[in-house]
Amino acid sequence: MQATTISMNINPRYHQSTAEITSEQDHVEAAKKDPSKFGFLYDKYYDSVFRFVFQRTGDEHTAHDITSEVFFKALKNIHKYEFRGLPFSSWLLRVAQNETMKVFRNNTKSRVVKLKSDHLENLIDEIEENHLEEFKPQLLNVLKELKESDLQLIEMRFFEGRAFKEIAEITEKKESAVKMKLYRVLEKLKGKITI
Amino acid sequence: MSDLKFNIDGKDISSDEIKSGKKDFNTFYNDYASKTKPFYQKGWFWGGAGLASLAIMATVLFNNNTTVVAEAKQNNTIISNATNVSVSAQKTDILPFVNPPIDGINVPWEKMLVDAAKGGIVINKRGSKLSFPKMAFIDSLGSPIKEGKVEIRYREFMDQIDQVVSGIPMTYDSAGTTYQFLSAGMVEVKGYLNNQEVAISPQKKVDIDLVSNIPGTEYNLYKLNPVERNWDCLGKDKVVEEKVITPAPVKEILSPEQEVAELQKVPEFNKLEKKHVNILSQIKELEEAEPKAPIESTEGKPEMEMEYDLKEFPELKGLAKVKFELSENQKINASDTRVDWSDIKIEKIDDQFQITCTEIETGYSKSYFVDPTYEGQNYVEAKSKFDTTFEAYSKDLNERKTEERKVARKIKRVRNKVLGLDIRQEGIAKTYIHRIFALNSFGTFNCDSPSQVELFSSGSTKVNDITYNGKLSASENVFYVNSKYNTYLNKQLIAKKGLTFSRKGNNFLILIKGGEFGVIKPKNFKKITQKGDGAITFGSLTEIKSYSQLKKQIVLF
Repeated sequence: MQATTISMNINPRYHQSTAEITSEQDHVEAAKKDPSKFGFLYDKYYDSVFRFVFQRTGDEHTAHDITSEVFFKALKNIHKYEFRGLPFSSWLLRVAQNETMKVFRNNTKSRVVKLKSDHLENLIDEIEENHLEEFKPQLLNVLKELKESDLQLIEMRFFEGRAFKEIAEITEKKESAVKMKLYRVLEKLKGKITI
Repeated sequence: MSDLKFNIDGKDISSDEIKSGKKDFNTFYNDYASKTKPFYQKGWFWGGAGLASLAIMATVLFNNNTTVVAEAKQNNTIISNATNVSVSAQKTDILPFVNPPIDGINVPWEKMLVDAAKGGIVINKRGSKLSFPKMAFIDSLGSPIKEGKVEIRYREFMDQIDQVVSGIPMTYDSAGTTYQFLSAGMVEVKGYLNNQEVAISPQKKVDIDLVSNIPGTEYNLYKLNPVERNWDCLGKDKVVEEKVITPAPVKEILSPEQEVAELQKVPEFNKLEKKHVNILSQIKELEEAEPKAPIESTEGKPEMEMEYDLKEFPELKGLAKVKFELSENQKINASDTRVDWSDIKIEKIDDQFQITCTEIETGYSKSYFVDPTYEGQNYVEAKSKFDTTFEAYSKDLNERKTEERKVARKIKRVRNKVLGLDIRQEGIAKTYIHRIFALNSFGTFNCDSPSQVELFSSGSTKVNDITYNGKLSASENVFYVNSKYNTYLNKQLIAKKGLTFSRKGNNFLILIKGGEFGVIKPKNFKKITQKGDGAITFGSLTEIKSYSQLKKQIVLF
């Protein structure tokens, strides 16, 4: 099975030219020296980070709070950030993922997965050749049984339309490892669905 | 993932909507600067020096203590460090949620190392066990820590004094109601690598096996949430009782003579032995004097009928209603019935009565064994009298026997203790309570039962002045603890209505002022509440040099 054959939306914030990425790095270096220069990065990525958090919490107010916390942590730790030729957003989203999970661990909010019907259909197509409407409720139940790390792969790839490269950067894994892992998760889903 | 919720085809949020809820960068940055400016990148903020600065500024702001202000002003470092804290504190007008009352004094940390890659089990000095899985830690950016030894800093707050010095609030707000926590054990655990604080990986759990002193399954597990200024309920802990028998120490076996010699050296044993001998003697006397039930006369049975003048024989008055039937196998000579006896003697030989009749003139004498019996109404009366007498006798005898058994048990206990016999046979048994729970983050965790304050407020007394060494003290500096309840009360205790307290257990009031403390112990506490004039006087305070000194000087149990 080729997990990469489905059509995905392009994430405009992720796909940047080398010049854009290099210019962004100048802002990071400036913020390291003077935190008040962090404004450019804050404004550029607030929307992306917010959407990432909102996708997982489903609550605007909570998402704003967590997003603020993400930028707070990011600015506090920006001196540790190492430029690897990748957009700064990958690092921010990794912090966002940790902060969001922390909220769920503390039992203050329920984990939410926000998706569109056609996202679900894409996923069904991926694990079964025949498109079956009856699969939907069963698939949701099976998704609930997944480990959080497995669910996140499905979520980032199928419901958020992220590229393997970006998922790899957020999860700190190699791109090939992400592909393999996603393949196994899909196999797991397939094994659990019985019609 | 059982609490996972799906939001399918829900409302999309536009960039404009996101923007409307977003703080502008200046606001964000001002918040950031006010919280972090002097401390960011500095791990020591949450250590002793940072807390010391915070505590000093809190005193400056809220107690309006001009002396401390003056001292603080002389110390440039303190002022410099505390300036930004004071801005924040003035804005919010509240003290830190965790607010140790004694500068520099707290429950000491225990430090243990865990291999980040392999994980491991560490055990603290009380026997509590912390089990870390492999790859359990992440750094501040969420990256897994793949190598190195993570330093686990761990401490337990097991009694009221630990709680007081920690400054950790023992109250819990739920749906607008404030509950008082009764704790079965509280722990704080943190992880550090190269002096940088680390976290537990989201995919990992750390198992804690806390050795508790308190049994019971009514406790929940809570995590301290300093941001929300409350506790987050995490569910129930698992309680396991473990009975541990320490093998008996090898002790020399003594001969009976040596045992007696050893025991006679013990005054308590000698005293008990003497008492025991006395009681046994009393029991013997009582048993010998056991009242005998009256015998009802048997119709047709031969009897000795005596006619005598009571003036001459007053000692026979008690036998006036008694009929003496001849005992079994006793026969009377017909000639004896015709003798006019001039003397008669009745005596008890063993359990039988013997009557000896004598004719003085001839010196002829004859003895018969007889049974005293009663006939008709005389029997009824005698029986009734016997019943009453026997009841009193039985009660007396039983009391003596109970006392004898009690003294005998005490003697056995003292004997076993002196000779080490119980331990020799059974070893030393002790039951430990284990409270077991899993953590997925570092922090402060408390096994608690939330209770209404009224539970331990069965008494109250008014409070006018709290004084120490002739000076007035604010009620906020006073902590109330009771030996029966593993918690402390502070601000919520002394309200306008006065001091509320429990009439059960031992009551203590502890005053902490600067680096000094005073204690009102149970005896004086009782006097204060009995007097009820509203004066709580601590006398001179003692300098607090260390945590262990405080624990030694305030003995709750």
